[in-house]
Amino acid sequence: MGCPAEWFFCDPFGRLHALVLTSLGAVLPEPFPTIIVTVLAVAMATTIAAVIVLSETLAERKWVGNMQGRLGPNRVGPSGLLQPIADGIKLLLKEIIIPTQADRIPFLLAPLVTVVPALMVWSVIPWGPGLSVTDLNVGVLFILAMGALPTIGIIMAGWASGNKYAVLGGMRAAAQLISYEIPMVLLMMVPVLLAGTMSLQGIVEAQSRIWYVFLFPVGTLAALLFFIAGLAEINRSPFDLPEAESEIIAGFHIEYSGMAWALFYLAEYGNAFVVSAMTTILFFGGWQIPFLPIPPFLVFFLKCYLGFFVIVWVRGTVPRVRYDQMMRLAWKGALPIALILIGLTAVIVTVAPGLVG
Amino acid sequence: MVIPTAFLVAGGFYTFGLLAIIGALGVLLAHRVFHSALFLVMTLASVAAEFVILGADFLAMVEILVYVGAIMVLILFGIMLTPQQVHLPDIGSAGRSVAAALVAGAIFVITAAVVVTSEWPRSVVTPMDVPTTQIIGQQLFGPYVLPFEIASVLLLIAMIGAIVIARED
Amino acid sequence: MPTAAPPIYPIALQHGLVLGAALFAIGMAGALTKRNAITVLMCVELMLNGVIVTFVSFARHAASTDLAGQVFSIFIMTVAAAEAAVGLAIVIAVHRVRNTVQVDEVQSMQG
Repeated sequence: MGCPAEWFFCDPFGRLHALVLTSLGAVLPEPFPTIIVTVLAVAMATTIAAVIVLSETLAERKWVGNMQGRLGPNRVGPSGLLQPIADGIKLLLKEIIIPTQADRIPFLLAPLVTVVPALMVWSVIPWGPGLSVTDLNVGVLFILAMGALPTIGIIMAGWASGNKYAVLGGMRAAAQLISYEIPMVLLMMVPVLLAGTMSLQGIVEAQSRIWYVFLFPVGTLAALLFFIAGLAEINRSPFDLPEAESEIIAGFHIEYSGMAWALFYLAEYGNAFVVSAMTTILFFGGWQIPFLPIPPFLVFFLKCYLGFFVIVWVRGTVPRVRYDQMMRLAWKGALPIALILIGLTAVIVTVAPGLVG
Repeated sequence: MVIPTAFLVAGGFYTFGLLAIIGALGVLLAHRVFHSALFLVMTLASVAAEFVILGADFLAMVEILVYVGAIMVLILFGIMLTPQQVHLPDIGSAGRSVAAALVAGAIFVITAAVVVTSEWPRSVVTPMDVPTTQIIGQQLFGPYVLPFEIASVLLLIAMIGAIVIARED
Repeated sequence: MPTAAPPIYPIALQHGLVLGAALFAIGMAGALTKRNAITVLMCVELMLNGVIVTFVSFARHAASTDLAGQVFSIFIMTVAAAEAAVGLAIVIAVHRVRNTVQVDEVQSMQG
């Protein structure tokens, strides 16, 4: 039965979109209504991204706290709900200290190079049928490209800090990122091969018969490995050596304070949600749910947040892996399995195309 | 009314073209090698935007993924692993740089003059929404399958060669 | 102008070709002038990018939709990646032995 399109709450954004388009189209000549609607959609996506990222910071601290037998932040606002706002105000007002031997312009640009790709991914995420800021033909490749750019930002941050430990931290973080990029690229090709399209809406709609995670063994293994590689890509536990290096050697963002550090922090949580969203879109059917009359954007949001809960759960439970263990996992574990999975998927799609609908 | 769209497309082309050329000049004129590398990142990103405007969306994403995300990271690693003790000016003698600038300028002027004044056949502008990924895939496994296989072997050779050359033994 | 630019697509063939030529020329000036081997490599990458822009421009204005220019650009990127990898390996090996990356100091085989 699902959520029929006639009900208002099943597709409020679609109706809003149509309403704004027709009302603007009556007043302005052709390219301007589309431009204005696109700008509004981008603004809305950015706002949603910012709100979700802020709520994630609080959610993580509370959940990790509960896992460790303590309450999370509960002073600011009712049970700590205004904590992200307090954090934001503090970080905005804090001074950005630039060390003397730092390279000023790369030092200040590095957080931007890290954060902007993380935000640009939000423009292709499909929240419902036809509900994305834009639906690129090469959506999957766009997300991969935006996942490759923060590596440059991290190298810039490490080098421009003028601190030998920051350089080493930056290089190790960059090595981790590029090591896990390859299995992630290969594993993202598995749903692309199964769906026959690189557009994210197309992949979600191709899973209307069965979600790809249930296609044992190819889909399940691919989903699991993709999630692990995604965790490593966003420097989250158990792969958070670049951040936890503060225990041993300073990480790449040791010289950053104030808003510059806050941008790195936001980039990390934004990326966490994006990895969760990508796993949902590619393997767990995106905004689809059988039979229940829940609006698709709510289904998608809940699935992604559930994925984020798993990410936080993993962080609170699993100890950190050592650097050489992590590299060994990437090159000797994930990469061969990813190659085999792509080969298997290609064989399945060629030999039995009706199997996956 | 298509004129504003054309203005947007043309404006985008000129903007990113300008950014690409500024980045290229930055590669040439920057004092430190690291800054040259960052200017090259700027150029490559602008060129990727140019590809989108020229209708090559797959190529634009591959450019960012491969060039900026991998080759530039490699170059930045190389810069960080080979630190320079002295900040010498990066150019040879002044005479050499003048001669090189003249030669490069001459090549640019001659090429641009030839391009602008020659009689190109009346071009059929291909539509913007061809499925580039599918077409490139079919071409790579169709007429161009031999260069494709050779490129794979080339990459394998380069990988092995780079590991062997850079290895400490 | 002999090349017709229909009002819908305002970028004529010449624009893309001139941009490619400009990038190529700037890259060439750098490759001939610079002393640091890595900077020379970066200028070679600039030249290759100029060539790729030229190819994509031709693919855009070509008479057929088989996108040969874009297919060839993929090969150019492949070769550029391979060359950058091997080039940087050589630079690192030379730096390990000679402790320099200036191209005019590694000339013991010259003459």
